[in-house]
Amino acid sequence: MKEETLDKIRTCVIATFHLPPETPITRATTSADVDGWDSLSHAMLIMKVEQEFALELPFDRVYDLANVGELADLVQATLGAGAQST
Amino acid sequence: MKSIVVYGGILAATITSMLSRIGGISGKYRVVHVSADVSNGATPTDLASCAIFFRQDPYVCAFEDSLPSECLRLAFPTLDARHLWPFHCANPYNRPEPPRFPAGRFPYGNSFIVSCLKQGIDPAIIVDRYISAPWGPSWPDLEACERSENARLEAMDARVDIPMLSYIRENIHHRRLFWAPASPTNALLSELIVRMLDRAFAPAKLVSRKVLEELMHLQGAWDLFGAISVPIHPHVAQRFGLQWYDTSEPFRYFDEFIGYREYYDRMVSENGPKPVPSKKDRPTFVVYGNCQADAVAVILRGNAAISKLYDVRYVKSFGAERGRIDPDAVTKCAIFLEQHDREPFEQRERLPRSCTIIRFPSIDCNVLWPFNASNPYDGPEERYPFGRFPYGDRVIIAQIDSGRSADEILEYYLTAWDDYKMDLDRFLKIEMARFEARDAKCDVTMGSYLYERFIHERPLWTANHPTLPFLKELLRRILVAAADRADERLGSIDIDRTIASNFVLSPRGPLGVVSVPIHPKVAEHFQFAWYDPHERYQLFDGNSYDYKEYFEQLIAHSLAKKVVPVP
Repeated sequence: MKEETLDKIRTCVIATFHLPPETPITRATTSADVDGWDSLSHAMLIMKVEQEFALELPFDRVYDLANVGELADLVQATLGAGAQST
Repeated sequence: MKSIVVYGGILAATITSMLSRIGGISGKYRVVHVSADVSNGATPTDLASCAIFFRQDPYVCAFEDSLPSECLRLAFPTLDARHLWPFHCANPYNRPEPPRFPAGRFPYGNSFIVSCLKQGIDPAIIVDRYISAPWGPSWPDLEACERSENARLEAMDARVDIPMLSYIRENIHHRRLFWAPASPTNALLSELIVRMLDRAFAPAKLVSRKVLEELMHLQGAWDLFGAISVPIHPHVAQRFGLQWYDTSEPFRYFDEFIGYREYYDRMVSENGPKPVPSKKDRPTFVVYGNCQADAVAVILRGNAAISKLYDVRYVKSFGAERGRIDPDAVTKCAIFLEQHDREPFEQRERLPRSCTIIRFPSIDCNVLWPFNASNPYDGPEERYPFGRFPYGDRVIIAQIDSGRSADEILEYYLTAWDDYKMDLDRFLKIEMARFEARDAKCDVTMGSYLYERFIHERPLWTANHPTLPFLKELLRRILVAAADRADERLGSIDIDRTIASNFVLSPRGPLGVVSVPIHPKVAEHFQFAWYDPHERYQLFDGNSYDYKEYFEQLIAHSLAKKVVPVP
């Protein structure tokens, strides 16, 4: 499940930043590693991820993420919380 | 047309201005002031056609002999009453502080106060001593002052064609004639002007004193020379029998009225012995960040009071010159203003321990340009160091990448909103979260200010260039924080006035050179009160374009760059 989440996020990152499909995006990838990953494109990425996973990420966390791995963890946690509340 | 030339100092300049407003003169004569201090004002034609030449005594005019022989030459006196201010002296602590105080805050010195300050007497007791101490033998001899002033005025009266001494003597006891040394009230000034005209145009009577006083009041709510009224010492007022004198009256001090005591309290506290250090000795006030930080530094430097206290420096947080600053300026830094940025200042460790670091945010608001992106089809050109279209658009870039023609791209952009639109409400919520996260890391916050206003007031010209009101608010908040944490003197800085005077010719502010169109659907969604669908947007080439023309230009330029790639 975690790997599947990371794969989907990798796809979102590549699409948002128009990267070549083979670009290595790992848990350790940060905004500094990707050209054009600024505040605006970060918001675009968050919206793309929300669309992809059909969820809304908690606002207070989306600008507090150190790398792609933490974004994946946040998505997992949000999915988990949603599952528990249903 | 014949001319009337008024030669002399500021009194002559004021008289010139009044003469040119009198009906019987303005239609018949060109009234010209020629400054005795600098050579300006009159052209050779003015001098050759000079019918009346008024000279302010004691100024001597080098060209008076070359005026036409039929020209009427009349000397008038400088209006002064030095004996009313026997402590008057040059103020060694006064410094020009344009734009609000071009002649300084206390252009009229007081020898008692200056002497006390020089002796290092506790400022808290200087004013008490000045006001309450008995008039001792070491204080000015008022009889001698009066004798000497009388002798001076009598000598001047004898030299001039328009004497004023008898009028001053007859009236000085029962009405105010001076606000400060050499600053006559409108009443006295109008008497002088009427006498000048009576003498020049006799037997015609061009204007009455009453009409002239009314004319003067039309020039300003207050007296022409009344910007400051210097309090007269109560003992002096008593000695010279000034019946109109009242220590409880408010004294005019530039834009406000203050009490007798407050005038001197301010003089002691604000204009004490604070020698202005040379630029070399001043501590630095370093501003680190992007172009907004540069604008902040420019405005801070433009304030005379701040520049007197600090050597304001700007350090870039981007590009090849990132972090470039003279090492001495870092070790002398008293206040380090750091824009919150993912590229921190590399020499932070070298800042002195006493340095106050104040972090402030960039002003931005991505919901205005949700498709903004760095434009890969743009680059620096000789005439355009930042490129012609540095602000790209993701939708247009994607269309260019897809190989469509210019017409197809424009058509798509203007009509296919439903195809490329985004959830703007969700985006706004995410943007608010960004403001909040950023503000949490700063000492100065702007997030809620922006959020509360962006619908009603335009915050930005481009994605990273704020409008002047928002930049002004950022500066105001920065100065409040700096006064609170580092230097309380910064709390009284009038930054509004600095901005108003620095940007008279460019009301869009330092970052308003270019502007980028707001998508009409975005404006419609948020109901921007300031949005104008017919607005024209300015580019670096100096031309302005409407919404459609702007995108035609952007698309054409980007396609051209795609064919000839940006180096």
